[in-house]
Amino acid sequence: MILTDFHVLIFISAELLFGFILFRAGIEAIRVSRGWQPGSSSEAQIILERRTWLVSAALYYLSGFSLILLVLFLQIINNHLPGVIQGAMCADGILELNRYGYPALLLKLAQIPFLAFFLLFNWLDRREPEFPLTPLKYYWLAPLAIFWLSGFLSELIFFNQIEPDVIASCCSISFEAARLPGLAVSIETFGAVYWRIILFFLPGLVLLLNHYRRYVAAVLLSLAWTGLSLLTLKGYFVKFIYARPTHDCLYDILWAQYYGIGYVLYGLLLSGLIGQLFLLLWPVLQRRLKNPPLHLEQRLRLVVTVAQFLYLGLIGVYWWYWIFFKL
Amino acid sequence: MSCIRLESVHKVFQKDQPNELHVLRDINLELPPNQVTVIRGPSGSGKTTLLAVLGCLTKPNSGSYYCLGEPVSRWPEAFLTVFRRRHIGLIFQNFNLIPGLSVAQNLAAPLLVTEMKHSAVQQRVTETAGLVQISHRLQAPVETLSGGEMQRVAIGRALVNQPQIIIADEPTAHLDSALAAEILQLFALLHRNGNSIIIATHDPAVTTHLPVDRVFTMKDGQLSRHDSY
Amino acid sequence: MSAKYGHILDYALRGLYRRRARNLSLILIYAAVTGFFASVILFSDALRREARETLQFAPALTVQKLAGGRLVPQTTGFGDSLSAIRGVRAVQPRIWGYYYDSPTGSVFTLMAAPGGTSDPAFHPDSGQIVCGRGFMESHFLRTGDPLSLVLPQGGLRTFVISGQFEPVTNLLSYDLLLLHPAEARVMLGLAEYEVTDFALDIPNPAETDAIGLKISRRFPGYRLISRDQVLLTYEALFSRRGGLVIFGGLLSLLAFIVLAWDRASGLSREERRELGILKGVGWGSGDVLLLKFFEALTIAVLSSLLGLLAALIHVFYLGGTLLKSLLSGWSVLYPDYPLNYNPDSGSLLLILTISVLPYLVATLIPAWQGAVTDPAEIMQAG
Ligand SMILES: Nc1ncnc2c1ncn2[C@@H]1O[C@H](COP(=O)(O)OP(=O)(O)OP(=O)(O)O)[C@@H](O)[C@H]1O
Ligand SMILES: [Mg+2]
Repeated sequence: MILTDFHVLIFISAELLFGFILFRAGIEAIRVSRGWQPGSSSEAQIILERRTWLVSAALYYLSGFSLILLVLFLQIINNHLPGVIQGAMCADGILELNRYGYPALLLKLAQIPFLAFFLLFNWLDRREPEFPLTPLKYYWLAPLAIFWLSGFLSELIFFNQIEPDVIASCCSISFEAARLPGLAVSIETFGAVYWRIILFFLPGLVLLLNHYRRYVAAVLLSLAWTGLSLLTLKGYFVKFIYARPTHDCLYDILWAQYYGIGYVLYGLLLSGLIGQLFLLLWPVLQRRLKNPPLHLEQRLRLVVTVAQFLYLGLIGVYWWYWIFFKL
Repeated sequence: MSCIRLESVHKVFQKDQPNELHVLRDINLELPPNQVTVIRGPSGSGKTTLLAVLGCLTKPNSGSYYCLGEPVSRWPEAFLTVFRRRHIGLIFQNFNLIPGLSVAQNLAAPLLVTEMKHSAVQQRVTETAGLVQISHRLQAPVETLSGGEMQRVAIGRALVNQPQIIIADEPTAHLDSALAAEILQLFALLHRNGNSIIIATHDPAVTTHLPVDRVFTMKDGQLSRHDSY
Repeated sequence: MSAKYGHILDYALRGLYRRRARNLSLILIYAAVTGFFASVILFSDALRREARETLQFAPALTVQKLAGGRLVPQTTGFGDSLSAIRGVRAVQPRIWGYYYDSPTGSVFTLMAAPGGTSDPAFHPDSGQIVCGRGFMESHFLRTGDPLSLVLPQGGLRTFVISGQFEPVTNLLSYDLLLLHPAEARVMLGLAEYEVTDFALDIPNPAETDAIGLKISRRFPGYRLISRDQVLLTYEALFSRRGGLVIFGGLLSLLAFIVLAWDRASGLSREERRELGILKGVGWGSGDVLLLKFFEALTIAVLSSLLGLLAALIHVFYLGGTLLKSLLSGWSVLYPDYPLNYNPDSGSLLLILTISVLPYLVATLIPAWQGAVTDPAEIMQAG
């Protein structure tokens, strides 16, 4: 349906634009990495320095684009396609249409940390005249390119395999079309009170671990907490956002009728995770810098903690509002 | 502490190409602060190129340059730019004003990439305009100015960042002798205010209006010192 | 926001204003391209939504007979076999077909008045006809006027118009002609015991699929259309047309990008000189890049919003007039169909994305080239 649905068509074109810039930036990055001579004032080095500007600018663009593309992708699978595809109510049903749906979404999400890493590395790099992180920072482009390419291919196959007109031409297919598969594990178990206690207690532990610079443990715990957040959200908290006890969709909260609160919640989860991952890299990185920014580490810890507690606060508000005023 | 120190600086254009041009050869130079330095030399001898190096606009191919104690020749362009913005005021051979903008906007241009607030920028522009005596034409488009006024704006723009070092490339070339005298008196005032001044010029009038400390002659890319003009 | 960003943004806007003659023409062309695009998207989105709303009232399941891939008439007796199936509450035989109207070149739907409704306005007697408003208006007719239709075997038959449908949101009734069943058969060339298809009333929607499956097993050779399927056909139809038009649009967008590229990469000599001076007086490459980004963003967002606004007015206020003349397929299908205002934020975001991003991309490399001009250049510049 790539060629027949212009929402998809436009999305794919925008992805191609993204790919084009990434490609262009990648070429420059390779050139720079190959010829880089720190401390040299040769003509060639000056030209390479100028090329680094293009890479930086391109990656700022890519960061903005990747967020826009993510929102666009969510809009398409969450708002547009459910209106086109029979039987699908939200993104979940759409993504389940074939094997490539979820990989496409996950690969899109996976690009964001790499962009964030690059931008942070770039910022640190440009603070010192030796450019201590060049060409190291450009290595982030490799996983980014791989994730983009595989994500893009998944999207192509995913959209290409969705065939709304097949149903119209042959009835037997439509009547035997698969229903949404049910979840194997009952998500309801994550509504249990002890899961909720763990959910609210873990960020405190993460804070403590970060304070004592136990970053590996903190990353693992943050990952676990983020996973638990999603499970408890689906099993329990999201119902208070919908104010409907039977509704546990994780995508509908992205809709305008819920004020797009989903973007805020997922944004907080993602930024907390990115901050935490960056903290993991920080001790290694710090050694390469002559003049590391004074408060970066504290600020990153703050980002992690604020993101995690803000998330808890937000779902807490929905939850308590319901408990105190409605019950 | 010396204000400027060049150690065997070379500048070559089109390096390793058939039309290679060795413009600066083994330049050594040390200037104490708050002096007036004049660089003379025939056309094409490399004066402007030397000023570009001194002004942190371009990097030497080899040798080192210490400006206000900093090893600027080792820095990448981006850091040179910041350094130049803080410490060096440049007055170009041609006024190089931005057409279409008013005098005030031209004066403000270097401040726009600093974190100065809008009101502070305005105030600095007004002060600077007063210093170079162009306050009466602040809102005029620069195309409508006379040559002398244009040069005042160009000087004002170089001063607006309150630099320690002022570098001027033939500041009197396009002016008649009366206007030239006025401009040179302005430089004298800046010198009294504590600035270091480096001027490239053919104009012998500089000595009559300026307390010149050192005179150098540029010839075929090499610099030699004179005791007097 | 840092003061520096404010200064640079201010400088960018003033710069755009200074070169307003040049930028205005760019913005107008840009807005026109976006407007065209946005019109196509909004128009087909709106049509699709109308179809969905309409079809909510369509029968749950329709049974048609196919021969050689073409729809053929069925006998009324088959309806009894269908009503014997469990879960089917009622079977409604339907008589309908298309009428090609040569004066307007449009195709209208001809239908026998359905049984069951009691409203006399929808029950033309023999010699009478009830028309959709689209038909009435395109033929300048009023209730009570005579109307002659061409019979399939040639010759004319004259009816008296006994009523008119009001188009509520009803895409289908807009071009519909209702006749007495006997006369509808004559007009469509059906025998007395023949009908076009059967509409099944299935009270429990969850059973539709099972019943459909049962019928298709028991009576092979019949085509079953569920309401959802019809919906999908419409979706696919609109989307395919939209896709084709978008293809044309994509080409024009490409042309526009080339144009934009050309203009932006040919940073005019004055612009180059200005950037050189700025770099000379202390602007860094990053500052110039930011300046160029602000300029590009302003142009892109301004033009896109302008184009979007034009498209909204065009599609929902002027009824997509310009587009219809381009898309002959639509104008044949739906003569003059008024659209309700209903774009969603997703479509608007989509339009802005496809409009803004290409320009930003096209201007990136020229901006970079301007940003890394050698600051020493202006020492020599004459
Ligand atoms: N960017 C450049 N690329 C190539 N050649 C250059 C460049 N800049 C200057 N030159 C050359 O270097 C030589 C010295 O130029 P420079 O401008 O320094 O001389 P000058 O002493 O200032 O002359 P004038 O008195 O005419 O201003 C000239 O031959 C000039 O053509
Ligand atoms: Mg010169």
